[in-house]
Amino acid sequence: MQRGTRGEAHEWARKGDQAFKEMEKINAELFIVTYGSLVMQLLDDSGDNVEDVNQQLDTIGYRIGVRLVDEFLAKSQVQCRSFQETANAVAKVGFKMFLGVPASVHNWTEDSKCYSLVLDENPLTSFTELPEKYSGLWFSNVLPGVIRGALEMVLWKTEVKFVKDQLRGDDATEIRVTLLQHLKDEFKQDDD
Amino acid sequence: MIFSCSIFNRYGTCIFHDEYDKKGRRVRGDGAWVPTAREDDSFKLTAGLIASVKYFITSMSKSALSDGFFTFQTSAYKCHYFETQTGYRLAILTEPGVPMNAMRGPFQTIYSSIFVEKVCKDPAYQHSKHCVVTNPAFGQTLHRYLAQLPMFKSNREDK
Repeated sequence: MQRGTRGEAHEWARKGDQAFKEMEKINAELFIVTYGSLVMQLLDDSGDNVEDVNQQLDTIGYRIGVRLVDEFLAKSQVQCRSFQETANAVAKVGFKMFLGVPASVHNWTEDSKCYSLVLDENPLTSFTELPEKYSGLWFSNVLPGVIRGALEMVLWKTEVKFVKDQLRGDDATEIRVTLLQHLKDEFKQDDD
Repeated sequence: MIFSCSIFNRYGTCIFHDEYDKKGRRVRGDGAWVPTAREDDSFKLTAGLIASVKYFITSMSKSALSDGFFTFQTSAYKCHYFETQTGYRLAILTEPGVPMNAMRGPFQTIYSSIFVEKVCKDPAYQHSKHCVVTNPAFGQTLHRYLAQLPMFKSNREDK
């Protein structure tokens, strides 16, 4: 399903470029190699239990997302009032800002509660190939965690997971985001 | 004159508070802030007040809130209030003469250049219910920033 006009898409892309420009840059290769070593270390520590590593990467990502969202909102001045807005905010601004490449939003469900983020290019996997024995690994599983953590901080409780990864030989790299619940603002007089 | 600055998290806990004396110095000095029992009560009141005013505003208005910014004033002070999308609430008390919109820009700067850098990126800080700001650099940087605003200096005893 197609959402938004061409002008809107352009506006989001502009916001993404703007935010990207203001970010401090680090050496991409250093970043990629560091991430690769992290994944390898997790695999070593868990005795090559890929399910375990998928889970840990997701948790690490969640913790990053919870922090990252404030920097994202402060620097991009983006609003996340509706769930549809968050899709563009994450894809066009968030990905561009922190990874340098935007993602695209596809496959909205009829009830507007579920969409896919498709990455044409995934910097995390630039130098990576997946050996046979790790075929169950979602190498970039930190990304869904980051998205889940960030969205939860703006009160959208979601389930985020990889459904396709080019590293595994799929035709695209696709992350599925499903809205579970719009959380309530809990701010109140602190009683305890 | 700016009297004080308080920051609450999304659960209503006061995570940071600082007061400035008549000469513009930090009342508690440059160490990390630890709330006292007496202060704790006043923060609960402030948090309760903010929650009630917000509830009042949303129940009275039919449309969605614009950016949630508001101020209120008594004869002794004016409270400037700012809320981030992630649920942090900043309240700054100033003398009543400070214009309503004067803090809007500074709030944005405090959030994006000071809070994000010194608190969100501090590994010791977590976005959880009772975690307060322990990094002394935050209070220092905030004070340095506030101290150079024109409304900080106005009506101070001496510079």
